[in-house]
Amino acid sequence: MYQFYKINHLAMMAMLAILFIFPSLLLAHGTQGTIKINQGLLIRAKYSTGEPMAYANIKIFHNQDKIPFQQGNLDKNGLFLFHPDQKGIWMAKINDGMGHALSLETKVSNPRKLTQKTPSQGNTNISKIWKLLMGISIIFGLSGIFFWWKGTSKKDQ
Amino acid sequence: MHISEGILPTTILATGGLIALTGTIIGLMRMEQEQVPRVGIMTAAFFVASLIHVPIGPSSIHLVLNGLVGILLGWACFPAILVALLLQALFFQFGGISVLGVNTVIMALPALIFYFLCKPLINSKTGYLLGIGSFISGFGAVLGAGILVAVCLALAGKSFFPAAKVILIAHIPIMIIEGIITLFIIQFLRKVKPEMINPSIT
Repeated sequence: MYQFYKINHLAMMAMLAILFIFPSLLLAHGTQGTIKINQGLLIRAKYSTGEPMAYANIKIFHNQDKIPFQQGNLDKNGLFLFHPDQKGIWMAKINDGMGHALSLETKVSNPRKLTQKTPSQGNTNISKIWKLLMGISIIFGLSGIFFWWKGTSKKDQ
Repeated sequence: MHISEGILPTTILATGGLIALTGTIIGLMRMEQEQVPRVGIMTAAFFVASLIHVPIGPSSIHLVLNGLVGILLGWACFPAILVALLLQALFFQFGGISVLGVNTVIMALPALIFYFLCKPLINSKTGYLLGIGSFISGFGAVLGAGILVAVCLALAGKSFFPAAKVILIAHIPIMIIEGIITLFIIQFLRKVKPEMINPSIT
């Protein structure tokens, strides 16, 4: 058993070393975006590193339409502006062609005014470090449960 | 290197899920109780490593460490990577739940293949052969993952070669870095804890 504690200790040291070497670099590489009213609907798409999804392909759909209302590419800063012509749900599907995609939607009740508040994809307020610690805790928790389960099934045999 | 939700058709998602499930079951069945802490540690390391971004030029890249996980865990890399990717998807919107199986296969399968290919080198008692084996495993696991991403995108209707070209060129630095990191970690473990290099979960 002592041997495993030593292994754990070693690997934990290595992991912590990585964290200390790159303290400010703990960023996910998912995608996130917002839709805001700005003389139309302004879409902003970025990776969770903060980098914009520059020139990614975008398709705009109204309700369940299969043919896109508009399609094209985001600009260099990951922005795209369009004017909805009718009320309903408007959906933006963004794809960078390298496996990263993002889907955003918003409800438009009056396309002429576009004054209603539009929901954007919310992120929880939990910081990345906390999420990271939660993830690690879950992993160790699961390992512990599995370790215990393997132990009991071994005893039964 | 992860594929997001909404890109792949259901058939690929189902196939990926099935392969990942098979790999995970094999990994769990072959795992001895004594190996569980190691799997837990490597799962945590993989979970954290993918979130560390290293700025290179105008962009940034992140570590994958699937090659290292493959060397140290063998078949158990499947359950380890599955759990880590699930948590990344839940906490960081990294990949997605429906695409979890495909992403697990993308990361774990090349790691396992390169581990088995390089096993004679990794098990060698000669330092430089072990170094070459670990570098190839680290490098090849990322290369294989890139190729699998391109294959999945090609099956989803994108043309294979342009996608593969973009993905592989973008990941050349990380392949080299992964190879070097894997080499150093394995060489270090060889000196301080040589029994860790033989996972015996194979």
